[in-house]
Amino acid sequence: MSKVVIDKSARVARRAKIKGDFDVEIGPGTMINNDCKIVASKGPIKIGANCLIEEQSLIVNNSDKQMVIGDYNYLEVGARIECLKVGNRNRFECKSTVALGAVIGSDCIIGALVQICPGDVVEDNFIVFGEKQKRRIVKSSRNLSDIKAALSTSQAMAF
Amino acid sequence: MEKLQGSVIEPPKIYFDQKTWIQTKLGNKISKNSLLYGSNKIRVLGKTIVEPGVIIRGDLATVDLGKNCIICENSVIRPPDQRYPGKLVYIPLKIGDYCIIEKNSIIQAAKIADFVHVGQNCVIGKRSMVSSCVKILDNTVLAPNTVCPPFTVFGGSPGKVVGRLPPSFQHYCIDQTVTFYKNFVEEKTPIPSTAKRNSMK
Repeated sequence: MSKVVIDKSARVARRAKIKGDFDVEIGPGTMINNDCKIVASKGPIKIGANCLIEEQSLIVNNSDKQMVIGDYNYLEVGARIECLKVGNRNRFECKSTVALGAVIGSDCIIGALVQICPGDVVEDNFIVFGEKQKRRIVKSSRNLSDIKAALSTSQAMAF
Repeated sequence: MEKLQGSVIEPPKIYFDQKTWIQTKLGNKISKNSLLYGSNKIRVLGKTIVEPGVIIRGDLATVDLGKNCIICENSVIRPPDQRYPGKLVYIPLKIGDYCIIEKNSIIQAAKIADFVHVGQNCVIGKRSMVSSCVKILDNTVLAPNTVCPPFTVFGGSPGKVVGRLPPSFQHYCIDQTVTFYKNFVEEKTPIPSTAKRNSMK
């Protein structure tokens, strides 16, 4: 049978949906807001520590292998992740989609309404933005401080 | 008297099921399938329509909705945050009168003034200020902190001025919202024929 292992310090909202036949593991300190869906339909999912997952976002595993999402990731409203490997300290802005087969490194920012095709590799410290999906290197990364501030206020507010 | 029944110029009536919608005293029609968090901090002036699937986060900060607004399905209305050194604070969100917000859009603006038409699948960035009489096309992304001047059309990602609007856009918005609200009527069960006969006697 599938297990859902949620750490003690993680906060999962009441209306979040965790579905699927495979294991789901949620690390310490993560916050999962209402109306999220985590679907382990064909393979297990492991979410790292201190992630923030906001409303209407989707994490789906449609492949046989394990899906690993790193620490300190910030998934804004409506983000969809289907790829297998996501690094640490990334920020997925509103309504961005990452297809199966893509690989995302650490310290990246994926802009709003951006769709990353299967087979695409986003290396460390890159921003993907705009209609034509231009990329450039981040000059000074503030992802870690942003998500730490967001996590501290939302933990104090919600519960 | 009123116009002829079944005339072509009048838009058709849209019937909603009385069980899944709430009608308040001020005339708001709010779907029961919408999620309103922190409802004591959400202020809605009369005659707005909130369709199913809408998420309004009033628990983060106060949300003010104007009158005669239409908020279509699956939109998210979320107050933006402001970072100060050492902390993060959520700012209240205000939406003006006669606004139309279409399906699947995400609004994180600080202020949206009156007579604004937001298209489908839009993302309005954090802390942005949208003035009155602005049209935002479908699939646009407004970057955080943008200011939209009045009587403009915004489009693209990042959102830029794409066109201009005539001064009659204000009346267009009033016309659209007021007729939509008038035609958004609850389904009435028909009176059985025996009751009618008794009342005639």
